Amino acid sequence: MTMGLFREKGIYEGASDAFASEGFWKKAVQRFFRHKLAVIGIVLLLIITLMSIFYPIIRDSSIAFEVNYTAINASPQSGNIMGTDALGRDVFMRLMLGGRVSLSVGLVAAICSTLIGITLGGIAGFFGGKIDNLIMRFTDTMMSFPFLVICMVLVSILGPGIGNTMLAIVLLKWTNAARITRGEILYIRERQFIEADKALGINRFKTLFAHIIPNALSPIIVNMTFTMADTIMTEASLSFLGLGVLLPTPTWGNMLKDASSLVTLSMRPWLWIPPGIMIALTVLSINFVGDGLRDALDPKANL
Amino acid sequence: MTNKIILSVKDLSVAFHKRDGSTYAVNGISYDLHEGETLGIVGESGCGKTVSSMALLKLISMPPGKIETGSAIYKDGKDLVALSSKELRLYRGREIAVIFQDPMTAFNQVMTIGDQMIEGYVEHFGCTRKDALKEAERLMDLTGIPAAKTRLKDYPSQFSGGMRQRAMIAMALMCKPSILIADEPTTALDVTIQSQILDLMKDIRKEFGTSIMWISHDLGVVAGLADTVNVMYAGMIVESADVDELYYNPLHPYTKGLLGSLPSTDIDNDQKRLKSIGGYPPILSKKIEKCPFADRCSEATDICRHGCPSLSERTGQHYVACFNV
Amino acid sequence: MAGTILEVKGLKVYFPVKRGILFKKTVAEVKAVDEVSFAVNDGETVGLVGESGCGKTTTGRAILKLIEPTAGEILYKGKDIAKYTQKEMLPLRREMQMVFQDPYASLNPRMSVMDIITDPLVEHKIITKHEKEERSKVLLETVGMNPRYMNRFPHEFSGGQRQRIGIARSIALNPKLLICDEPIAALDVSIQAQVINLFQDIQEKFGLSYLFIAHDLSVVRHISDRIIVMYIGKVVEIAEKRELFKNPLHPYTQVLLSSIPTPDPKRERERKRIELEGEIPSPLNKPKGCPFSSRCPYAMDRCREEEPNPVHLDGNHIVSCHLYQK
Repeated sequence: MTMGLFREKGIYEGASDAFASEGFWKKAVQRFFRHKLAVIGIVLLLIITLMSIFYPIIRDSSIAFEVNYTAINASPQSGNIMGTDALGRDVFMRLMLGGRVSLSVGLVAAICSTLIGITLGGIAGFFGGKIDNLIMRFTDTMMSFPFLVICMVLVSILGPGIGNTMLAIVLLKWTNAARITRGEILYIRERQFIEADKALGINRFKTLFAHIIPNALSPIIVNMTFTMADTIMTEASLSFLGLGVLLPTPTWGNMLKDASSLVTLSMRPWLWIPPGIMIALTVLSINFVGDGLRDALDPKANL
Repeated sequence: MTNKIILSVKDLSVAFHKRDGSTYAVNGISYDLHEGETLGIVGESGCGKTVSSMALLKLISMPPGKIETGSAIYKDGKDLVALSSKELRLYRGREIAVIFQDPMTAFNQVMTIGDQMIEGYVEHFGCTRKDALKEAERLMDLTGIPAAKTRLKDYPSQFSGGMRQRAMIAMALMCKPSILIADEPTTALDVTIQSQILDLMKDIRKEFGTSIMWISHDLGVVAGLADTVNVMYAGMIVESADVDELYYNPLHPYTKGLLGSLPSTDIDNDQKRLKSIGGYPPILSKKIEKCPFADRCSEATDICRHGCPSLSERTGQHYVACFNV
Repeated sequence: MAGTILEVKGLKVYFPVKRGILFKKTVAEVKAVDEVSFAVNDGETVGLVGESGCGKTTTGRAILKLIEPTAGEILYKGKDIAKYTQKEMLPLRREMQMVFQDPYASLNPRMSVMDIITDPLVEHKIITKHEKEERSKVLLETVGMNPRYMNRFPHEFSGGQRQRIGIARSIALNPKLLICDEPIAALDVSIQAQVINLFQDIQEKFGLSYLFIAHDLSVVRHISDRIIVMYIGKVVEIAEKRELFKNPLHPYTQVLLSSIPTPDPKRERERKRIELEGEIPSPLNKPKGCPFSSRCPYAMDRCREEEPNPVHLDGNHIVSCHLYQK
């Protein structure tokens, strides 16, 4: 009765061992690296991250803070490869330190808001009924606030600073993750293999952890990358408005604010082009990575 | 059915080239369609029956789909393969119309049935909306939709499955096409509704003399409707013959297996086990070099594993692609 | 045939139709399954046929308590399980299993074949984790698959192979009753025959009883001993298969049988179809009286007023139709 079992070898060509199965995650990694933009994104992101971490360690980071009236608004030159600002501080060093803040705000806020979102969305989706209704109406309410306005109010109450900026963002950004998690769980719950589990007498919580969550994870991870890009933008906007991270701690947003006078804009492009490019490049890279992840984590893709 | 050939397909090959590999969906098929003929195209999923028919009007997504060079589709002396999609538009719906399997997705949900029916008609014939609606009403009436006039103003979701399929058929008939391609139009329907639609198709054939290409996996449905049957496997036509000849005297081992695997229709026949074809259809990731059925065939010999048989005539009008027949 | 393994008496499954934004009110009820009664004997295959919306799938799910029945009794080996909680059902899950229609949706895409088919065994503490490999080997061989495939994932298989995996999972617990919900509807013709044969082999080997739900009458005719015909939530006729095909009594059964296309061109061209007006009414607004009265060629006034009761005729033939009321 074992007819025809060996006749499908065609599908597995290219695999080193025709009988070894590739797991989902291994396949996902392969698919990710086939996505050219995603690879470019991850390389750029890696470069930006590594430089932000290590440049201030290699070179003395005090040049980013010490006021040096002998070298005010110097254009790019040896020693200050991106020139200096109005207080004679090294722009490149400030840029790298700003990267540390922006990236960490982005990462921490994205992870925290996703965790809140998964928890609330998960409870809503799994228990359903009144709890679901309550949580989701609350989510809708949160989503209907004008984001920047509420953020400004929150920050002005809590006071500016890195921690409070993160907190404000987290408090307002978890809604997407909650909606996606709930939607995924509702969808997966209706899938037949969940019903099959019930018929087989498998424990409800085992079903949740072994079947529902792993299947819901892909869109949540993808959403997290997009949230991170979004958060970096938000932090930059808040800092630009003077509500985010305060000087002298540099961030890309407050560097832009610093450079927002007409004279600087027209005469000293080295003050505003670098932070602008960094924000754009980082956000773009993260979005590329997000796109790549979406394709890579789709279990139906390229089978 | 007359002897006039209205569509001639020569060596049609269709492949899908994607980043992670190619699929050779249709591999050099040739057939003629006569005026007034109903041609059944039978095969299992992935055998290329739908792709080969949709490729006639380039209704497959291209790229990744590609009609390979050397393919030709002659309609009224013109090669459709060579036409641009702008030129092809004159054929789509006008000369050749399609009835899809799932009328729910084939209709635009936010447009009334009437507006969708007359869209092509107005474009092809350049007549007024009023005249077009009158024609639509006549055809809906003809296809057995009650209260046609008011139903024209309804949206697809207001129609039941069977009625939607009738509306689809009426829409396909709007421009008086000479060929109707019906892609499993009854598969999504219940048996009693399927029965009604099959009767309707027979009436239409009588009334309009349209040639029909009926794509189906259901050998029962094709038996009652088709004049000629093409059996497809792995993107090839493996057997082609008159319907009676094919059902009562199948020659290709695959056709034999397919017919043999059906449960007996005779209630007194106490058949214990079904005859099944072992194995599974091949994955078409490479060009076909040997007989695609050889691995599942009980009569396969060495030549079957080294070459691919071509479709050739055995007895009158009975074509088979097999080395051992 | 010895005893009765399953008896369903007056089974009702109603779905409420709810309206409202925050506080939902029940505005109507869909009577998906209404007063359905039948029995399945040990080692028997009972076919359950009907068109979409007739409640055949809901009946199957209600028996396994995947859907809560609204009313009625479900007697499994004489015990009424209709009111059992999910916890009380647990030990019974070993004995009653289901094979699902869609072999693509019913297998978890993130789990290996071995985990899919042996997880229920571990869950019910029948085997330990170390025995998984050995047991999956046996199970895969039983359903005609190569055990070397056990570490693969569902998407690497074709529809027919996946359905074999689904069957392996269902028989892993060694059930006594298997409810098969259109298990071959999604498969190709040549693969259907393989799977039907597999069902018969397994039945022979393990002495299972089947409730075989399908819309394809020719398949049901092949596999079943007895056949139940349903029409919008009601059982219209039950008979031995031969009796049903030779002597269909209910007008709906007659229509249904006359609608099956046969793969025989001459017979197919000559086949007389019973003309049937209109379409299947939605279960939301069922006709009053007999559910078939709106389309039945023999409908009398009585049919539109009063629901017919099942009539028991000779030879275990049950029909719900006023034409046969004494």
